[in-house]
Amino acid sequence: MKRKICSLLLCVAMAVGLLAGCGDGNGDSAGDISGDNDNQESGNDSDSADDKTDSEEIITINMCTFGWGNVSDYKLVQDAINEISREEIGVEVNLTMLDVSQWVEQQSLLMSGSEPIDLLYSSGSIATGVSQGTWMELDDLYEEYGQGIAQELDQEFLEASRINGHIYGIPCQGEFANARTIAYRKDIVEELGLDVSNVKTLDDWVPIMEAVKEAYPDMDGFATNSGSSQAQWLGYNWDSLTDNFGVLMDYGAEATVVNVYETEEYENLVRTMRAWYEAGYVAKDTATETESINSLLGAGRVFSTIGTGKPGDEEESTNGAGVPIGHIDLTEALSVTTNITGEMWGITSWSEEPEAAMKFLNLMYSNEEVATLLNYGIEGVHYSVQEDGSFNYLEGQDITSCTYHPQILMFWPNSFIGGFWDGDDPNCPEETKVFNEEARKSIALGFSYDNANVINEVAACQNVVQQYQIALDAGAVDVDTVLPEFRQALKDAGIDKIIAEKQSQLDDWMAQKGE
Amino acid sequence: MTYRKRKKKTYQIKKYIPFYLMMMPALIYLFINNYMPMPGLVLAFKQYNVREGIFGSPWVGLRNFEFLFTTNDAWVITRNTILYNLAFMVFGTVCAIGAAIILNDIISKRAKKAYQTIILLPYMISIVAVAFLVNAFLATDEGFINNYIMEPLGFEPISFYMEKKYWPFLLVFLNLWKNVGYNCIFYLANLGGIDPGYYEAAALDGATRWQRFSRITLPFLNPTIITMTILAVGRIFYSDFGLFYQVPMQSGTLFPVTQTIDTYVFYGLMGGGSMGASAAAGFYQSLVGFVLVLATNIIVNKVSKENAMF
Repeated sequence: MKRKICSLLLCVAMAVGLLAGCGDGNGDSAGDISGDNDNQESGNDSDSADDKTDSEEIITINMCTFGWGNVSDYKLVQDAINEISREEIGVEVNLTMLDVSQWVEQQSLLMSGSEPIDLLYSSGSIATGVSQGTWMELDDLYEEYGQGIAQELDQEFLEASRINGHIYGIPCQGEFANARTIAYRKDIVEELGLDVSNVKTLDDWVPIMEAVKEAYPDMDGFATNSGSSQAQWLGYNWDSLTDNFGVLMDYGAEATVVNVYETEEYENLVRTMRAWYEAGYVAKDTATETESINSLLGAGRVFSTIGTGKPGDEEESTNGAGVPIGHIDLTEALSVTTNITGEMWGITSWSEEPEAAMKFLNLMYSNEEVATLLNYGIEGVHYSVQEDGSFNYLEGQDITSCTYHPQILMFWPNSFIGGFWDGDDPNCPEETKVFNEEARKSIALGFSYDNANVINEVAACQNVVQQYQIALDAGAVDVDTVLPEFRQALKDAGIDKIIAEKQSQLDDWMAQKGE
Repeated sequence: MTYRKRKKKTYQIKKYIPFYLMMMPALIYLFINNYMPMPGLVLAFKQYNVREGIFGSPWVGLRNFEFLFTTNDAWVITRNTILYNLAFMVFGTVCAIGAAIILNDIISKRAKKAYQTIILLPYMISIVAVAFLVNAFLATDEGFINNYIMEPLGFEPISFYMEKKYWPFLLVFLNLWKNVGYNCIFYLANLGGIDPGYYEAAALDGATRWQRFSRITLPFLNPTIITMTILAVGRIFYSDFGLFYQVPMQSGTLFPVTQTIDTYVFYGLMGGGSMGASAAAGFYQSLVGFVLVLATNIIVNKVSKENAMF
């Protein structure tokens, strides 16, 4: 209970802080507006007026997102962006960037309509917010102000992000598919002279783990669960249709919703994990591990884990863990709806300046300077440009002392334009576009299901999954006794009703698409 | 009303003005924090929609409550919540009174303060830190118990986080360890207020220690015990979320003995759950708590009128 009160107080404090922050920002920019209007007028006298007229006022919009790394200087970045956006589109932004841990707590509050926010990042499927009324329909706005986005973004994926035929958010540029991989300590493999080029399946991985175990008896060969309560085998080579309660097997080849937990594929996975657990490759405490996988890998406590495959995956994992990480694909890359709707930018339904917000979103998507500012901050303050064109920390700064470095950039609307960091592959954007095109597409790509009718069953099934799946996935419990229990518990919780609901929604969607 | 009476009344109000003023901050806090959000309770009966707001959203009757009761888990989580809270209440009160009496009998002031601080200390530790302390003892690979007790003695290591049977005892023990120090302060304050003359007279008349406890100490402590119990009964449908969520490290295998209403709601609604359903769960908990407080008070009223709260 104390925790609850405490978190409530924190929430209130946060909310007050946010409001205060917004208020301050508004005050500042209001001051700016009067000062800048003069400049603008004088500018307009000499220049030909672009799309804005003299009398037009500068509109301020509120925008909120988060950064993985240290982003304490975001107000400086905001001011630098406003210099550009004021000129280009007559819009200023009041940016709020939360810490990633705050974001997790704040997201539902931000989406609940109590905060004056116009432009908001959406993580997790956007469909949740759509059914709750958070997001504005963007079809007309996109048509009118979204030309920059249209140029950058593959239209196939924008189409797939539609819900009930409407655009509710603009997908963040990035990979719209991924593969399941084994992520492993590359340096150790090289040190021991092991050959991993022939590893294609989980079974092929056993001799490698055995060799590592001999050389490093204290290092666990494999970890399935860490630092999160999410079960790890979510979406292996199936389309999980958002939540895994009813999936399309075999890369979503057919539009028949099945219960994945009843399938042979799932049973084989957990049997393999059980065998590894009993052979001592999986840590005994893995089901209750709370340390993040990056720190486990970095500290040398774990040799390999389940990874996510995409272009640039090795660089990203290596940056995260601080040790060289390699990836081996276990499945082909698969593109499902949540790959697209999972990271989006939307305009809130209560926004008072939706047009300005759309203009600004379009600017973020298409303006290289703005994207660079968002990605890496201000040149000479937060980064410097090296000879090969890549960016790096200033002399004497690093990841902890740099005051603006969001680290992972996938949450920005378009991180493909606007520079690349030292060590990153400059061809990654191109490779990703090819990767997106070549990935297998689930037949249900573009279908988002609405769980409003089965919300009770979903809540019950989520509890069942929490109870059984993590332990099963980690191999910590006996498959022969626990798997049948798990299956029965899901049936009792109403998984069949969810599957039936999904199937009927999917059938409707297919029929509409066929028209 | 005669002039005199009126004068007396104004005089009384005047007399109490300082006290009312002293109460103001707490009353304002109570009003803002506990009464102002109350209209939000209607959320429990609505399908929340941002566009229409709390009051404009469509009514859905009792549908939000369904998820708590349609599943087979309803029985398990209700049983766990109530039984754990009963155990905490009974053992908590007994241990707190015991600790208070022992502390009260210590003559050295310094020792008394030292002991009191030591048993109060766990109350100050954040539950997240407690969870890791417990993990340091119980972990299978690196835990203290398995490494330094079970192994040297030649026993098989125990996977504590995978075995249900230990947890009812562990959780009750942890709750006592954490809260006894705090609860005993109430009783200690009461004990200090008992006139030593009673004990001296009783000792002169040859009363044994037990008789002195049961005939003098207990009756003096009764009002505190009753108040604390009524308060605890009102919260019987709430559980110490940190204790049940953090300490078992969210191990699913332990759910049959660690899952309570609060953790169930949390797990069930974490993934895009509806606002209405969480509001419904909170509404249900407070409703039952309210009824139970009234019921307990009625019983106390029947048994010993002077100790009833209202």
